[in-house]
Amino acid sequence: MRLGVTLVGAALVAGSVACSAADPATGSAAGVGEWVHARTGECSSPRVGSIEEFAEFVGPLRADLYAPFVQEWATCAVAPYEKLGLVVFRPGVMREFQEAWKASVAAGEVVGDPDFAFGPGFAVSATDGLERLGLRYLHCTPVEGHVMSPEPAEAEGCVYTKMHQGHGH
Amino acid sequence: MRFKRTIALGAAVIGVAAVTTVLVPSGVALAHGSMTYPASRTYACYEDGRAGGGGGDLNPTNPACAAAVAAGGKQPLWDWFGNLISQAGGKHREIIGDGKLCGPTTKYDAYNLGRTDWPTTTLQAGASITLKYNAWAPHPGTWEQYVTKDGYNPAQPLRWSDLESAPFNTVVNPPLGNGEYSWNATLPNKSGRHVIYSIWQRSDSPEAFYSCSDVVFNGGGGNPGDTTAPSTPGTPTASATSNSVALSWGASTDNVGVSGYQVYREAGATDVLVASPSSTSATVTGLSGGTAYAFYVVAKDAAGNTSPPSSAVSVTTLPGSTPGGACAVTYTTPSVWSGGFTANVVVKNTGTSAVSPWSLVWDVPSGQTVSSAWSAEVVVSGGKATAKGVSWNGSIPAGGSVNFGFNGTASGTPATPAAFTLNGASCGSA
Repeated sequence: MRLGVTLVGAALVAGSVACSAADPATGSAAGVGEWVHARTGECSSPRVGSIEEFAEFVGPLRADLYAPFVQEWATCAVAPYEKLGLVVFRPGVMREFQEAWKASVAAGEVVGDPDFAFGPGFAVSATDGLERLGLRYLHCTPVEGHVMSPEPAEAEGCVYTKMHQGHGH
Repeated sequence: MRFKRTIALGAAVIGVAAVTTVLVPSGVALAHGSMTYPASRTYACYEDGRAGGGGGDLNPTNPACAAAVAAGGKQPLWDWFGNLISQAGGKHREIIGDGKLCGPTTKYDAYNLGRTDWPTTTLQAGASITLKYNAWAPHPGTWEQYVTKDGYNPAQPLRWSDLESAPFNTVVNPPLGNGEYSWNATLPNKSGRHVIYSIWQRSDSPEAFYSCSDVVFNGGGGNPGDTTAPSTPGTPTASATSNSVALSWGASTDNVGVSGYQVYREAGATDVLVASPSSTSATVTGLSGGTAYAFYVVAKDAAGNTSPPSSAVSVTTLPGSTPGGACAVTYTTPSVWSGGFTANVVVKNTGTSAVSPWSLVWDVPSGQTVSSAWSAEVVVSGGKATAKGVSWNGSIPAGGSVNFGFNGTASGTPATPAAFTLNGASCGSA
């Protein structure tokens, strides 16, 4: 029997929190999809994927970094992205995730910062062109002075910053 | 069969032309951040992947594109226009190291692979050309186009020192229309395979975009108008193991010089490019035991001319099961919480031949379960866990390794498995 390589139908957390356009922190990729849809008019039918598909999407190196902390993910289309990932993290793992990313940078396995755009407990798989969502960059490498409104992230040495505007199409 | 090989070669040649034709943008998805003519690596591989994806998926057939997907996933192709650094601020040479020019961030790192088989666009040296860059939204900025120096070696990842010191073309705020920027440029006088490296530095933001376009210049440099194809390579000779075939063949000649060879495996209607060596030998790995194969070779020169195909050699790999091999396993638990843990496993093939397919087995320590896995299929039965590679990591090359991970449950501190076997052979610890 093949065990648990799919997260389809995984139990959702914070189930008592109703999804709304203002609060996507429902713990479900579908909820994130609704939130994105409310802001873009796109992403109308997210497709929940297996963790194996997530690994195929991001590749083995980034799968090693992201997948242990992913509770559920889905994809949908939001221009210009034909396949945008909607990633929900397991509750309470953001500090661990950031520490693991820092360790991987220190080991020379990855370069730079996580390449997703982050909200509370979730992320979407791209940044550029999605500034309108109001999500944030996550920096776990030293940032320079011109980053916008840095706020401490969960792990020491990591910060969230606002995205540059200018892609507000 | 000669007829089929001729068709296959013709298809390959047409494929090159098709790349040139298909990649001229016409109604491309609106986005921004990559050159579409001549096609950047990410755009060329995206189009190649769409052609092989059967709708709704990306499955490149070009070997370099396929290798990039295996190493970096499909997301960089879905996001083919996003090869950027958000905080570049014009400091490209300070923040991008040698070998990382084509993919300066982890997401696009696979597009730095030094290979001679990335999709190419054929251009006329010294000609006037309309460069095209896809545009989703207008942003002011400067585009600089560099070309590689004479003698550039495409088998090595691109370095800053590989580029001519000054761009052959620079444009500020080019016109935008029909979803793309386009502007005229005069191509440099080059010959053979090169890379056009484009940097778009926005002036309204520190964000910069990078693209490598693999091109073949005809008619330039020291061999103007070279249209003479190399001679036919000799018929390969082959020696087989259970999972590989070593080939060697007689050299081709050329009026300018042979730049390399392409080895094809016959495979029905469309033969498969399996190696692109610069010498007269190659070893094809990852084959199945007890299976008949046929291979042939095509020579090429720097101007892109290709020879007629050699006669094919038929060979049958040795029978037997997939060989077990020397192996080393690194097992770590980077995350442990009350009642559960995450395990990462690195399987290194320390043998001298590829292990394909691979199967790693271990006894699950008492009190543990496996709840979900990534980068491998993990099945637990009778207290034994068996991990097998998935589509993109089903083979471990000699000296190479694969990584996979899983989440599990455990009572107390999760114990490390006592031993692992790879295809039945015991592994050591790395």
